[in-house]
Amino acid sequence: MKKTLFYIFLALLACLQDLYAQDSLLTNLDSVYVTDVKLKNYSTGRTVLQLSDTLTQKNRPLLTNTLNFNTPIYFKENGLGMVSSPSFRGTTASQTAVVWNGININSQFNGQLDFNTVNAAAYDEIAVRGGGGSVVYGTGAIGGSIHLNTQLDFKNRQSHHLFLQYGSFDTRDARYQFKMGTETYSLSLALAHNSSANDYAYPNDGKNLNGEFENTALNVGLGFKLNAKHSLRFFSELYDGERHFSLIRASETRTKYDDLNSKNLLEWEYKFSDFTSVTRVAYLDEHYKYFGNLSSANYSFGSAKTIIGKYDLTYRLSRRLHLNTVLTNTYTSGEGSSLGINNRNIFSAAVLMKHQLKNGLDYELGFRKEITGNYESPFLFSVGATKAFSEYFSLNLSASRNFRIPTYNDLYWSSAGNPDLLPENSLQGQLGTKITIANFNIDLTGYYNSVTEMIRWLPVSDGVWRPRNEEEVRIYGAEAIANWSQKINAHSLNIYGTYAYTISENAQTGNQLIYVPFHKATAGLDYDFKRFNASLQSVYVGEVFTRSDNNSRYNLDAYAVVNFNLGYSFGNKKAFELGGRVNNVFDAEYQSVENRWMPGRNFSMYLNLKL
Amino acid sequence: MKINKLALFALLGVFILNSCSNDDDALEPLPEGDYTDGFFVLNEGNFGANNSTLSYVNYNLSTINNDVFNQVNGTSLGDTAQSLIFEDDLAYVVLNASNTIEVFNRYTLEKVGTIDENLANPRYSAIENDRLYVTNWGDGTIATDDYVAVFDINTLEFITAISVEEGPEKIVSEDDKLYVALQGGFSFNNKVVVIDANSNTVLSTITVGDVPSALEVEDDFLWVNSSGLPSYSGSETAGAIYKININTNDVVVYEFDDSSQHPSNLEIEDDMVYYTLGGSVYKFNTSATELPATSQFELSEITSLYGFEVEDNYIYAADALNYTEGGKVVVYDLNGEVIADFTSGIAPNGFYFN
Repeated sequence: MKKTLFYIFLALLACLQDLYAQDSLLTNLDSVYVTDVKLKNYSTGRTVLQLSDTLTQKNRPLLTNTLNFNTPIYFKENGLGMVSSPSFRGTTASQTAVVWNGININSQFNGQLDFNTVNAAAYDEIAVRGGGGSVVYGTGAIGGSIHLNTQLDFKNRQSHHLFLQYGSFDTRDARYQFKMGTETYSLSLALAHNSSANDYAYPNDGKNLNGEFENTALNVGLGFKLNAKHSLRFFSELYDGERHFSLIRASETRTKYDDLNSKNLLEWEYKFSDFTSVTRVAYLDEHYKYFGNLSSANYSFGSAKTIIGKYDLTYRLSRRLHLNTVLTNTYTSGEGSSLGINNRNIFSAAVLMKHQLKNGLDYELGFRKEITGNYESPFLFSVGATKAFSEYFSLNLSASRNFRIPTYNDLYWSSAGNPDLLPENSLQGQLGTKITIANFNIDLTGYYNSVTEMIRWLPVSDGVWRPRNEEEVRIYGAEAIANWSQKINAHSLNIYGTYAYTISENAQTGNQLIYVPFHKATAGLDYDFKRFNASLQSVYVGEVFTRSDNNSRYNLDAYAVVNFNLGYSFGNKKAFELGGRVNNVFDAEYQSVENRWMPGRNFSMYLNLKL
Repeated sequence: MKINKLALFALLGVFILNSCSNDDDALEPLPEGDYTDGFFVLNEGNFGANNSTLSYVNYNLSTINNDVFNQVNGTSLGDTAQSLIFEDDLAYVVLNASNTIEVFNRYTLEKVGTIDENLANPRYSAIENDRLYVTNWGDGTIATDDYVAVFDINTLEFITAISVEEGPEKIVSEDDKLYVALQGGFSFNNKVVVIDANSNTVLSTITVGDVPSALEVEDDFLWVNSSGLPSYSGSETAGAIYKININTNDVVVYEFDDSSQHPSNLEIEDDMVYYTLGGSVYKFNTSATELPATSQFELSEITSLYGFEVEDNYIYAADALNYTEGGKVVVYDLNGEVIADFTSGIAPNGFYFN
């Protein structure tokens, strides 16, 4: 199957020869549409880090990799390609919201997203927004949110982008993007496939057994400008992944996990007088199968269908003052092997306001309240302000209350679920500054976050585990995001990096949470000279505790990993590029989860074609 | 060969007679090694994390030494250590998630070998006639693939598999026979299977109360602790303790009154039957006809009882706490006074006395 798909890509490549004559034309930024407009308009006082698709191309396609090497988010990865969960600003895995074209897609079952079940190549733009965002993005936006966006270009052009990579451990990475449009309609199509035998060697003999995976993602965006007042847009994604879970010993029982997810969103935008109304209907289908023993056909499963209706009305009181109400109804019908069938309905109302004063002060306010029979919902708020003191210096300030609602597993797990759970609650504030000097840019942020009513599964009696609202966590830290670029003649240099210092401690014991490093840093460098381009990507992760009593004997060592990329472009528009990559150049021996080794030095080569 | 076997039977006889105290030091001319004069705590660790460990506590109860197997051998014990059994100089540890049995010298902890085939979800083991009998759940979701695997304790070679009903858990040996409690695995069962160690076949099946979670053989009697169906089963039943005469099959049942009563951790020591119920320790004489009306004492230092043992004049209790840090081990005297407590490895589930 995976081979077939790979050859389909090769066939596509052959077909493209005919289209080679096509010229890629100018880009008009005004005609670019990203549906998650809230990300731009309602992130006042916060930092949003944009990751371009050229950056995702320099990383493995699984989303963990791009984010791990380019953002302050820490990842706990059970071996390459295996289960991967984030800790964003010291929070837990279900306290990072993942937002697809403005829609929250965290799993209904466990409230998180496994970042190795997302193929980053399916998106035009990935953005990382630090800090609470529940007023706009709902449950889980406590540490921050990750935004996966499709971009629609309303301009007369057609473009193809094909990227094929083959590397160590029989790893195949194929990405194809097609965009076409006019001033009135736009089509965006992205198809990505990734597979790997993933049988890398461990430092102490042995190798990664039963670690193979493959996945395919298709993402389609379609937009029509019907007239000056009406627009229709449609976004759809299909993800099909099969992943075996690696073993530590050959004698262990072999298992695997299959995902089949689809996301669909239809938008109708209507502009009249000083109003813009956007009506959205989304349908999300989440389906997994877990095979606990590959030698039998038995599996357990979870399946959830969610229908979201959203009405979003913006009123422009003036050019500088906007009011926005968002009404959302989310209906989920979910079932699973240990869950039975359960439906839940959540209605929410949010009011947002954004005001841009003439003196360079922008501020925003937001409120949200949910109504549901499932849990007692807190009143959420958000305030943010940015003041630009000069073109070199601005200050950011924000505060918010955010939440993470109990999941299907928390509420309905057979004989263990607890229907009386409250949402996890986060009250936080942050202060930041942005400094721009010539080609140098730095965002510095300090934050404090108090998370209460943390849901924790603990044994009660007879070996039964049940979730309870139990813990309190105090988190504070600092984040820096910087970049610098310089062009001299044919030389172009771009250097970027992040650093995070994180204290995340259990309020009762004062201990740092397990798998939250005090220090994490990333650094990247891109250098272009004529037809050559070279880049480095690197990550440093400090020591982490693996025991909640902070017994340092079992700490995981700090590690640094560096990847190197070299490419050469051909053709009169540099349309073809051939290149190679060395991952983990210094052959670091490292693990981000106890007893789960990551690969040593490995290689790949690629072909990059843009028409 | 025959003479050897006889000698072994003689040794085994002595061993079994003493097995409840496991006080077989008398057999040895003072064993050599750093771990001769104390007991082990087996720490399960987290499923899938390969962090099972062995802790050692000297009998003077002064300190605990965690992770001793790793210290000696430079390698992890494995994943989800379920149980341990001693035979002569060796210890056999069943590792549930690794599907292995790690074999090492009980006094020096030096690794001797590993059994890594013919095990599927292994749980507990017993030894009879130089053979190691290991209960296996097979695939937890399949009711019909459960078995008792038989290995040669010297060569560690697989001999045969004896198919049994769902959920074989604890196993004990006595007089060429093995008694296997069918606790039920991921489901619930209510039987004890008797296996003939000579033919490796099932001799008979005895029906007992729901969820037989512990069993012991003492002086011609098989004691079975049936915990009863838990509340989450939807049809909760009270526990019961069965005393079965292994020669006549006569049964005495000690029944608990209330369906919410789920006794566990049955142990027999010096003619007394010990068990725990709702965080308290109870005991009664093996010849008593009724259950005790009151408890001996409450295990008030323990929040989540995960391991329990009575040995000579002490009661050993293990607390798994939150499973993300070292557990707690508390040593009580028979009146419930705390003699010592230690921080062990993650999820301590058993005590084994050298």
